[in-house]
Amino acid sequence: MSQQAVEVLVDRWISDPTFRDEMRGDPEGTVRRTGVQLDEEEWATLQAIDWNLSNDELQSRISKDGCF
Amino acid sequence: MTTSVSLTVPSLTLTTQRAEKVLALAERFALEHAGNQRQQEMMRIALAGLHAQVRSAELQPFVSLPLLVHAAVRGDDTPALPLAVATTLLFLGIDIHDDLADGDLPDHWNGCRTAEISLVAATLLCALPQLVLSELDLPPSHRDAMQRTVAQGLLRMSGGQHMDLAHAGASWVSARAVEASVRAKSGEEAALFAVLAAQAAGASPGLTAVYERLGGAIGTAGQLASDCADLFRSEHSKDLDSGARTLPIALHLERLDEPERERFLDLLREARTERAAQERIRQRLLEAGELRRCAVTVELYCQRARRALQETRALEPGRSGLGGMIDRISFFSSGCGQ
Repeated sequence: MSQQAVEVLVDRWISDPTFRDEMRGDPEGTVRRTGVQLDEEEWATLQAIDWNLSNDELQSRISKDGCF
Repeated sequence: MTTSVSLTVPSLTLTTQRAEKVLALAERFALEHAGNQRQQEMMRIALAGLHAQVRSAELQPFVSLPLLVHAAVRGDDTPALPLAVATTLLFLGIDIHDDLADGDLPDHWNGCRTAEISLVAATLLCALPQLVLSELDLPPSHRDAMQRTVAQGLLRMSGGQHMDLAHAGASWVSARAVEASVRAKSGEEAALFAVLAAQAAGASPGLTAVYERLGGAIGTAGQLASDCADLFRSEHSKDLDSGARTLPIALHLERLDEPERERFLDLLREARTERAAQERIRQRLLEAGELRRCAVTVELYCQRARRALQETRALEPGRSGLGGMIDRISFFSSGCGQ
């Protein structure tokens, strides 16, 4: 699995407010329009991500410490 | 480990209570096999420390992975209780060894000499688990394969630890290298626990390989999430104390130009002793989007784990239990962060 494709999208989400708005409205269509090629696992990852979460919400969602 | 010990333990829900049962069995085994009183005292200290850790942590993969994988293959986890004792002792040895390497020994070791603590770790890594495995009520060929699995797993994890030690305090380390060391340490550790359980359950080599992938992905995702917890949720970051270069730090260092990187490295040095500097780092990483980047990386591994789980055609209750573990690690599923 190449993680680079997903990382490119996340970088753009962080730096580009217009892209951010588009991703919130239509993640799949927005990704297809970028031309970034994703494999099945990466699509599944993108579909699982909630692009609306704020930093505070992400922080609250970090699983409490596990014994790893 | 005698079979009668495992059979007297009732089948419990996979909770902290279950982990405590396994810990009690592990303590009994360690004390029964200790060579003298001092070795018993040191084992008691080590296991009491693990007990405290288990109470405060929501995931105990060293217990739950072997039980759940066995349940997923056979539909029953009770026969895997002695194996969970072996994985618990292995985890404890690895954990103490890590703490020694990071200079981050918990308070329960106060008053103990480093040489003795190191000896406890060595005993837990190299003697007790192997003894448990040798006494499992399984065909000799299974036991041999499991002993080999332990040796190979420890060898790979040792390689990962070398990578990790080389990164500590480094002025630059790539995010890829950090991820690789997490895969080689925590990923291999969880893969080892999963493979041992699959082997004990009599899974085919092909199915065992899928469980290895599943365990590796869970371990890697779990460690990356745990590193985020240390940095973004704990009041006091042990990783910043020790100069560890976890993924959020490496991601940030990668994106900085030279003068900015130097300033950030100064802040990292300050954060080893100053709480205020730790807070400044936390805010800076959040603003730069590093938590989001890490959450997505964790999700990639969670998806890899979900896919492997699907391939296993696991039986219940193992299937739901393993799925629940993945959900608790993910930032984006309903079970996360609870």
